[in-house]
Amino acid sequence: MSDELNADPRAAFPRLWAKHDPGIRAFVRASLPDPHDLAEVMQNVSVIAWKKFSDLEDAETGFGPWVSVIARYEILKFRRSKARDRLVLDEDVAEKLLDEPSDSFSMRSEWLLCLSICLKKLKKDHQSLLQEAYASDMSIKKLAEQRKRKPNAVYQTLSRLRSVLADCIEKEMSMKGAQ
Amino acid sequence: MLSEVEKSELNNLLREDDEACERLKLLATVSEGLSEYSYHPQNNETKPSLKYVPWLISLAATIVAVLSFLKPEAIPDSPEPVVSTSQTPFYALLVDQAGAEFADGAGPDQVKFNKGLYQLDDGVIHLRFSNGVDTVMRAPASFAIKNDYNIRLDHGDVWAIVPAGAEGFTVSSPSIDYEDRGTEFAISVDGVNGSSTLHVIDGQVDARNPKSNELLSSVFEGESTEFSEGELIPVETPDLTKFPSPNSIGYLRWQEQHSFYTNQSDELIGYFPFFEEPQLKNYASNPVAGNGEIHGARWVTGRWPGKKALLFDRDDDYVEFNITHEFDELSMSTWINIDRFDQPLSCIIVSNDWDVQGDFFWHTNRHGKIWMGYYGGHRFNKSNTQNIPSGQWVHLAGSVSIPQKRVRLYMNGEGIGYADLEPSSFNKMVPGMCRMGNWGTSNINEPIKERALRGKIDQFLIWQKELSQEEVEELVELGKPSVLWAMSSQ
Repeated sequence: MSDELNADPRAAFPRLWAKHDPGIRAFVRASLPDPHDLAEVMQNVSVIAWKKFSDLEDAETGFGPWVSVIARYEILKFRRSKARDRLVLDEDVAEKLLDEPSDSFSMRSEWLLCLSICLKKLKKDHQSLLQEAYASDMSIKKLAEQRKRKPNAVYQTLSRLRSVLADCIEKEMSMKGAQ
Repeated sequence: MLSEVEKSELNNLLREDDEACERLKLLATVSEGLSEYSYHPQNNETKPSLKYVPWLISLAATIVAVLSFLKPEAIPDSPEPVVSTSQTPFYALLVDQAGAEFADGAGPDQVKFNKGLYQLDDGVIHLRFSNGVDTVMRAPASFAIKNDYNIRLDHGDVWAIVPAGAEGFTVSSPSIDYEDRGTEFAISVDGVNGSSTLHVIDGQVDARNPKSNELLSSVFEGESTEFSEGELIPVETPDLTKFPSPNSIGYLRWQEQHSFYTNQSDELIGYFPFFEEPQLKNYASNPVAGNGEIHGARWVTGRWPGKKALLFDRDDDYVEFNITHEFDELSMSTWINIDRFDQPLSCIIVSNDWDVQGDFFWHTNRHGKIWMGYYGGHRFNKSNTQNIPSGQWVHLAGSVSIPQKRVRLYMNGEGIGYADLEPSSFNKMVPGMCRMGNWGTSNINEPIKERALRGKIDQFLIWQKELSQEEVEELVELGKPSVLWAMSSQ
């Protein structure tokens, strides 16, 4: 165990949570596309992880997969509490998405690392569009007005950019695998 | 939000296809990564956003992304953008475009469209498939080409013309397939809710269930249907003006160029776009050349439907205008389509009478060789390597520079002629009153008939400078009748 963990069993939690938060969110998001559902589940996951953090033996290497297990349980619990017609995915499909091999969490972290590489490969204009769309409070309608485009066209471009980034990540991953 | 039908499709897809599940996880990670990090191009690095972000870029957009890229047939197609090698086989060619811009990694290999996903962000494109099917799309549009008989339209409007022999050409929408039975039709797909509208202009189109291939309805000439919320219902004819036709693209492109020419420097002294007006009007911002008086020449179709040209096919057809100034350098360019070379010399433009120093000429001989020069400037060491073809639109340009002591001639942007110039007694060009398409002379020994042009002109430009090769190439690029024209003329 590190000195930090020796000093206070929970001292490392904020750092580890911040480090793994995007990967955990991505895991939850795959089976809960609604942003409000995601926020609610993530809040529950963080509270439970905080309470049980002292039980985790190898926090440095095991934190991500450990929180994923908590998240999986919380997702299923959340789904059962909601009316079926509010959920996009059926129960069996959600379970299929949640049943992942143990190394999936680290793969998701790799994807996120590749994402920053792939973002740099986009045209400047598209980089700024993503930045404006994701990093500001501006609505898509407002963003479209500013760019003298129709909201639908902006939605389409953003959708396509996400796909381009996903393609790029796959390529980066395959290159890593080949090295 | 997703409709129940779409939810069901998505669930079935994820249930049956492991690759689709992986793709969804990856897209979810991309969206989450974009939400969690804001990108700062200035320092080229990512850093955590300072505020809670919104991965609610929009649920609808996320769903569209999921649906667009998780359809079963899309999975094998989606990972790789189009490969760029000249040997790559392709299913369709970009025949023409106006202001077309594709998203990163979602465009063609120059003019070749292979199997893959495409997103048209701006402009209009005309694709011709290898089986002869023509499709025209206007931005914004997202589509996937599966093969030369099948495209999937995720969003946008498409006009398709299917020739005999290509029956079976299918445009798939998110929830329904439209299979042609030898016809012409227009389809519009709403990328957000996946609904689609079909209008059959000619012939028959069958609407089919994409999974079972069950025939849902046959739609005939003049009929329209809409597929929405799982139902196919007859509707009124949609607004067809939003569908660009194959013939309209070049004209759109040309209309966009008008401001380019009217905003040129004072060096452009004559810009004749050939609008159908009583006079051939000069729209240059520095109109040193006067407006043209049209005599006999008739208005006909130019490079594209809607674009006008003047037809010179009789002995007394011409346009007369005055270029009064004196010039050290002059350049001219034109889009011209010559029908025949009837005379030993056919005039593109020439000063009337040809009786004073400084008179100007630009003509072709019977073999299609062009020459340009002025009265007083002796041309020697002449070289002219190519003949102008008849029966097709070509771009011709030429320049005379007294300071540089040279004449340069171009066809379709390529230098084809050169002459050294030896000014003699008069070192200025003074075109004065000129005729386009003919020669005006009061000399009874030079009958007017002998210089009449047989063909069409639909643009004419005059500069008081020597054009560079690059400038001439730009003019060709701007005005080329189509992408295929450019390829065939190289």
